[in-house]
Formats: sequence, structure tokens, C-alpha cells
Amino acid sequence: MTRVVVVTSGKGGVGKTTTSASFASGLAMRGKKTAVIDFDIGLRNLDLILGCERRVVYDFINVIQGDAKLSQALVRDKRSENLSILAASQTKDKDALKEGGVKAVFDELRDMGFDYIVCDSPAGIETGALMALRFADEAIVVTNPEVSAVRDADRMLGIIDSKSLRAEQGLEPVKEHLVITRYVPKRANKGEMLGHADVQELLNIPILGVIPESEVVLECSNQGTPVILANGSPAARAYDDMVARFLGEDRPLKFLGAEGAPLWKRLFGG
Amino acid sequence: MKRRQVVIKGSSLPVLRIVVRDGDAGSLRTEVADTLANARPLLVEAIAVLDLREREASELAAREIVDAVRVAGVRLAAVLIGDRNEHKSLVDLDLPVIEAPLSARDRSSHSPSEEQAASNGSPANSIEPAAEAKTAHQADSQPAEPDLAPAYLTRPLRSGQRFYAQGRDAVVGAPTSRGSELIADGSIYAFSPIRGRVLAGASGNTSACIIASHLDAELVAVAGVYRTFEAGDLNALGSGPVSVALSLAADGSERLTLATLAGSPHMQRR
Repeated sequence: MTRVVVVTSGKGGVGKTTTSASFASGLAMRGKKTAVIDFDIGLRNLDLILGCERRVVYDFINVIQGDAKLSQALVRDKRSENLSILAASQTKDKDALKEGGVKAVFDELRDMGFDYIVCDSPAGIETGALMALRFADEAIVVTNPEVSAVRDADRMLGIIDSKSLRAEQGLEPVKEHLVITRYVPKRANKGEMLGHADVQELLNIPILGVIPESEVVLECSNQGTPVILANGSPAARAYDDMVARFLGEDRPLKFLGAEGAPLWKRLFGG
Repeated sequence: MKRRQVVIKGSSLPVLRIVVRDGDAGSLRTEVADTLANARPLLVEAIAVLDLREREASELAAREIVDAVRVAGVRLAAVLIGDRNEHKSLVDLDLPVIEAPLSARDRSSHSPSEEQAASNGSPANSIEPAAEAKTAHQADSQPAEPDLAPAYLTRPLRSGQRFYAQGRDAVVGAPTSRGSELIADGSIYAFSPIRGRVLAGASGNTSACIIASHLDAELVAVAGVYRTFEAGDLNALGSGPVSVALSLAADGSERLTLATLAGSPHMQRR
């Protein structure tokens, strides 16, 4: 059974593409056959983050419009053979994204035996974002510990509840997960940013991961390496935990500030 | 026993009441048109009664007012008059005329209770027949027609979403977010945090109320009397359950009163 997972947020710049890249890579590293699709037509980025921009010949829109076969457009990741990337078009308009075309591509990916289709949504609530969530079985809502990002995430959850195919057909609702990125425990504890518990209370969906703010993220983007592969960095470990939780493992949330406390305090819950 | 094919039952339908007060003929006509034009969305599909009980003099014949209201596209069901009105001048109207004197409270507040207007105004149910209907109903020994069951909100109400309990109460079993709208024509009973807008008595029921276990609303309103809140405004009420209702001030105006359910009112509007 192929599962379609949309990575979305409403607000721009919160880390959707970074999260999509690490999440898809994480699934692939765990042996899941995964396709990750960039829905940000006209502003493609995912291929850069995954470091395959030079190998993109055909894109998602070429496939939808019948100019290329899906197998020609899918770019195999150079690190994991389980991961394939379908880049967005840099030149076409987002109106080229038609529901029937998207569905046909998904159906073909199902036939090809993919376990997961990860849809990297553009920001906003227009065609690209709506198409990205249209066929979703699960949604990863990415937000920052900041009120405007949380409000947009909330709005996006409402749209998933009303505009997804599952909602329209009255099927079991889209399973929603929360990922908080750019988290700085020290500032959250001082009340300078929202705490993860506040964000969760406001959005009322389970937390899949809290990714700490990290310099590694920028370096990885520029090098075209998914953050999850930045060995040893807290952000990489947090993404790894997130993927594990998504696949059903029970892992406690880390990097929430307790690590900085003295050992005895951690042991005895000070 | 053979089931009776004709049964008379008492009923109380929601109707809008268009109150026309004193004024000179020219300005009254434009005001009727303006007011109705502003209330357009409210009036679509609605049934209304024309309330002439607050008019002392009758410079403008009832006929003209009725015409002005009808021109504005309102479906009029009846005309309400008080004991002061001239019954004779209304004889030539092709509308039922209901005599319903204003009570002392109504007169001081200029706002008769909605139940009265509703039961009096429903076309098939003027005062005497209603009494008969009750008798017939009892004799028939059929179970009473239940009121509409409350609308039950079970999924979180997200930013940008609206939940409307039309003609009934709302019971809230899932949190509402900033930027959401929770509306009921009746009262609202919330067992989850309310963070968006919350409007009870949306079609004018001044006896509607809001009971909330955790009120952190941006705006509350009862029968159109509203109040907005800045962050922290509601802290004075503590974290416990809160009630919001209209109360009559000494000067005859209606105020929104917020109180903890333990008792004493803390905050008042106006």
C-alpha cells in the first residue's frame, strides 16, 4: 500500500523543503521505497536541497502534460537507491498542475511499488498547496515556535480537513502530525519563543518531531545534502527520531533543553 | 388504532423582527431601505414580522412601511401591534395582525424577548389558536416534538473555519483556534478551549448565553452585543469556567456580562 504524505505549513520559510528532504531520505534509508515530489511549480528548490539539480532533465509538469514519461523524469538519489525525486518545473505556471494529471502520476507511482509518496508543498493556500494535499493520507505540518507560523499551520490544518479528497469523500480523515523546526530550547524556556507544548496545545495534533535550530541546516542546503545525513548534529538526530516515530517507534522528544542540565538533575527529574 | 392524519401542534419558529420606531415619513422610508440593505445576508430566506409596537404616532401609514419592507425583498409573515396602535388602520393590509402589548421590561429596553416575538410571529400560530393547539396536542397524547438537538463540534475548529449551529444550541467538544468563528442561534456550551470568535444568539435571541470551560476568545457576542479582548484581558476571570450573558443595565441598555461560574460578575461592557 502506497501512503501519500504531504509536508505543508501555510507560511513560507519554516522548513518544509528541508523537512521533506530529510524525511524522504530517512524513509529511504530505512528501506522504504520513496518518491519525493516538489509541488512548488516555478520556484523549484527540492532538487537543490537533495543535490540532484544537475541531473534533472524532465520535471513534474512535463509528465503531467505528457511530454515525458514518469520513468524519465524520476531522478534516482545518489545516496540511496530507494529514493526518487520528481522536480518541479522552473518555467511553467502553477496552473499547469491539474488534478487529473497529478492523480495519474500518483497512480503510476503506486503501480511502480513505491511505499511512500512525499509531497513537498509550496507556501500559501493556492493551487500548488491544494494539489499537494489533495491526495494525502497523512500530513506533516511544519511550523516554527512563533505565533504567525502557528496560525498559518492552523489554517492549513483546516484546509486539509475540508479540501483533501479524504475529507470530501468522508473517508477516515488525513492523519496529521506536527513538526516544529528552528527550536531554541533556551529561548523557549525563557518565554522568548513559544514552547513546544504551547504549540501543540494551540494546534491540537500529536508532535512528530522538534528540530533544534542549527547552523548545520544552512551548510547542508548549500551542499545539497539532507540535514538528516549531517552525522552527529542534533538536527540530524532529531530528524532521524522523527522518521522513526513516523514509522511507529516510540522515542522520547530530545533537544528540549533538559540535556543542558546537570546529570543528577536529568536522572532525578529536577 | 388508526393514525390520525390531521394533528394540531403548538410550535415556535425562529422569525426575525423588524422594529420600526417613530420618525417622519421621508427619513423613515430611507432608513427602512438602508437598514434592510445592510442586513441583506440575514434576511435571505428568512421570515420576518413587522413590529410597530414602539410607534407612538402614525404619521406614516402602516401600509407604506409594509410596502417599503417588501420592496427590500423581505418575506413578511405578520404585523405586531401593541394596544396603542390603531387596529382599524391595518385592516386593509393582507397580513395577519397580532396584538401583543409590550411588557414593562420590553418597553424600558426597547427589545422584547425573542421567545415572545418568535411564538407570536409565527404565521400559523396567533395567540388564541395556540392555546387550542396545546389542548388538541395533549388529547392526542403523542410525544412532544423535540426541539432541535444541539449541534456538536467534535473536531478542532481551525483558523478560517466557521461552525454555525443554525436555529439551535452548540456543544463544543474540541478546541477552537484563533481566527475561527463559532456561531449559534441558541446558546453555546464549550467543554474545550475557545480561542477564536464566539457568537451566541446570532439571530437575535437576547436570552442566549455562552458557557465556556476555558474562554480565551478574541471576541464574544450575544445577540449582536459584542466585546473584543486583548491578550490577558480575560485573565481577571481566572482559569475556571465562565459564563457570558446579556443583562439589563439601569439605563435600559443591554450589557454583556462575563462572570466566573462561581458567581459574581467581574467585567461589564459599556
